[in-house]
Amino acid sequence: MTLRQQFSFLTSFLVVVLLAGNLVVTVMNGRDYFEQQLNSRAYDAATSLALSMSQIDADDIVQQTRLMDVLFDRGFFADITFLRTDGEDLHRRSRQAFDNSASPEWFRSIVSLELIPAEADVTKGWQRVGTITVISHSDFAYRDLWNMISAELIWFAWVLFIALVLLQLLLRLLFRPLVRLEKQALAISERDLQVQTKIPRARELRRVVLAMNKMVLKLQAIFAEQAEVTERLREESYLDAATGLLNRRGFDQQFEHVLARDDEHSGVLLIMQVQNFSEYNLSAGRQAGDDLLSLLSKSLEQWRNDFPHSILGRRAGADFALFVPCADRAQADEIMQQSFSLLSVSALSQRNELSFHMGGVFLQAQQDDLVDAFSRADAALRQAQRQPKAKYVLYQDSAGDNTEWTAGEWHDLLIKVLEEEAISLQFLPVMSNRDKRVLQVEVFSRIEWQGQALSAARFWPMVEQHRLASRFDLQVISSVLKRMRLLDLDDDIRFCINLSPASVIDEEFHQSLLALFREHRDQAKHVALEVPEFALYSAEHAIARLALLLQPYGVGMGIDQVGTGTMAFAYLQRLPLAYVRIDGSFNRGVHQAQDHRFYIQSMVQIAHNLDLLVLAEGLEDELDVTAVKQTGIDGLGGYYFTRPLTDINEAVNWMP
Amino acid sequence: MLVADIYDWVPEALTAKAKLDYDSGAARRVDEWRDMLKRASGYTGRRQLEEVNHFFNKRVPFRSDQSHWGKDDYWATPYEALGTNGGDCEDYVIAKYYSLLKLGVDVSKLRITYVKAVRLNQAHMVLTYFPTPDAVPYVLDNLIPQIRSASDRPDLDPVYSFNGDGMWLERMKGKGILMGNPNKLDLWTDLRIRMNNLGMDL
Repeated sequence: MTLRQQFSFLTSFLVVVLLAGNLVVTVMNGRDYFEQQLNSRAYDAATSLALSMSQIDADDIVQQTRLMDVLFDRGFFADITFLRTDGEDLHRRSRQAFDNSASPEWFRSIVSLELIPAEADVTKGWQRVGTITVISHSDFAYRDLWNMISAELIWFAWVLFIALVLLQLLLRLLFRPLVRLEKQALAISERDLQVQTKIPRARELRRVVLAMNKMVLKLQAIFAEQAEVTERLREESYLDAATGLLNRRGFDQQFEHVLARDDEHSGVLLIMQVQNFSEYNLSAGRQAGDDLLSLLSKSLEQWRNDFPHSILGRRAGADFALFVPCADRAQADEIMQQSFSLLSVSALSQRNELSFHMGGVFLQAQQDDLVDAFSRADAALRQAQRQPKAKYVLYQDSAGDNTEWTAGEWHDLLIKVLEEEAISLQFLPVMSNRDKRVLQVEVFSRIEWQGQALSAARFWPMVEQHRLASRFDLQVISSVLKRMRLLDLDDDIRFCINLSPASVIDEEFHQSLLALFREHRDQAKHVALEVPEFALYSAEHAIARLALLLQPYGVGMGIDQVGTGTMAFAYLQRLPLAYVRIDGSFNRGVHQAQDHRFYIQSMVQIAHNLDLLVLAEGLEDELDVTAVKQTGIDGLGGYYFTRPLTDINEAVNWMP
Repeated sequence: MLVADIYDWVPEALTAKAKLDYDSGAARRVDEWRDMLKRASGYTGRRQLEEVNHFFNKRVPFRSDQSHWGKDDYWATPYEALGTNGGDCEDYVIAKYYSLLKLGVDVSKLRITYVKAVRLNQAHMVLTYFPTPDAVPYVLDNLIPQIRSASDRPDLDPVYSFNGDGMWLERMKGKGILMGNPNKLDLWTDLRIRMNNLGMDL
């Protein structure tokens, strides 16, 4: 029973007792009054009858009877008896006053009027002729009393009804702050830190609410502090202080992770170098040098916003490294030209004394490792530096047997794939850290084309370039949903599908997505959509809107590649998320890297404080798996467990 | 008769109260009343009636209500009559009725009777005693010292008599009266309440 129910029960009980008590008192008073009236009327009647009878001849019985009749026929008396001293008695006794009793029998027995016979002497001169006894009739009294009580009962019923209704309304009003308080407390236990804006007027409640608010603010502050510490730590180890870009370590870590996803990378690595930067530093001053660096990094950063999934870092001095995913060598060449001309017209346009060079290498598929990639890019860079005319050089691959397609050919291919629904799917199980269950299934897409398998890393840059991202995303999601129909799924298992940032900001895509989930209501709660962390820069509002839109269907929202952007973690609190997936670059070699472990641990703590799941991806090494498991992470995935599977059933039921 | 009974009839405290309310003469008259009852309790029948009749007729001087109490009609308790040393016809009747009741006279034989004093042409009240229900009663009156049969009292014309101890009043006493809710118009009831307050049960 809630407090309000107890309250209303108690007060209702009190009202009923009050009214019932009042009724009883009324009945008793009424009874006493009627009794007194009836008895004194009988006494008065006896007295006046005796007086009249004393005035006539003592032996004239007819006359005496008539006198009694006069009084009796008035109908108010039940019994009039004349007891003569000579033993000859006269009686008048009434029937019931009403044929149908005007009051119920039980009522009479409860009230039970006590009528007392009134006596008076009839005399002749000094001598007594006899005694008159009169008893009043009680039917009228019972009737009147009954009517009175019934009227009062009806009145009380109304009063009771109105009182109870008002009471309910009043209690509802009074308990509203308490209900809000309850909600807030429950929200806090769900890690949802809300501040109550309506402060109740009642003193105790007000104090409790203020105390709760204070606590919430404190919790928020603790969260912010924790997030800040973690961010600072990451900045110190992975970011370059002067430019805010990744430092050498940060760049290498992320780049290596991309390369390690062997068949899934396709892109161009660019190295940029301002050749006589140290001389410039000496001649123009350190401040000018720093300004140049930040100018360079800013224009690079702005430019690379057009290339999601790209990695940008300052490796040393005036050396910048940039990795941009792209589909083929032609696109790589194009990207290189673009970036070079961008820098020469912006940051370096007024500084003729500085010579600026760029070397690049197109990387695709399995053959690369970090050192090899950099040495080839370096070779290209040196070649560019040697030839005064060519300021940028793309490394020439001798084994260049890759099929080269023009943009138009790519477009035709992609459209055809969409029309023929030729996207094939692969499934990677993510294992729970608590038991040997599959917690999530990551969905990867690839294109099978003329016997050749193209990974997302290869074709996705082209999908984005041709603005087909939302159509591809939709087709992937719809195809996953269709296949899920045939599965018997555990309650909390989710299929995680990547969304392109371009789709997230597409309002039309939102609507198509809604329609799709409406159609597959039973499957929707087993689906999660994830966007990369860097997409939050440009699309946080859209992500929030989409998450709220999908919430009613049970579709979760996740963030992946967490840790690669320079986002403040506050977004974790702002967005209605279901999970975060820490970027694989943090897991690689984590068993040797104290700071990586610390970062993952802090992330787990922050996310758990907000009731989010935390997942790790890209695990290959057993030692890394053990180390990551110890951080309290919720789920792990990677080739250590299995390669992506083509059979959806196998992925769902995968056992280590 | 036990002495204790007499103190139930006329409580001892009344003596002290009379001294306080009135004077030592009043206290003495109350004591004399108690002494009379003690004496009369040794008698029976006519002798007892005469003792009581004689005591009040002799001891209480007649004073009209108007001159004595400043009211048209006031039924005084025996204590007030003795204390103020005066009373009218009702006060005699009440004092005698109470005394005889306490001495054990059957209440059904006693009637308080409204009469008209023919010669004086005045409203009057006497106490009547019926040896049997249909007998001619004896009249205890303050106009003459002796008790006479009613047939020897042509100077009195009976109007109405009532039995002061009826069932009805007995019952009413249990309720309204002790609840402090007396009918102020009913002189008899009013009197009984005042008697009761003095510790005398009429």
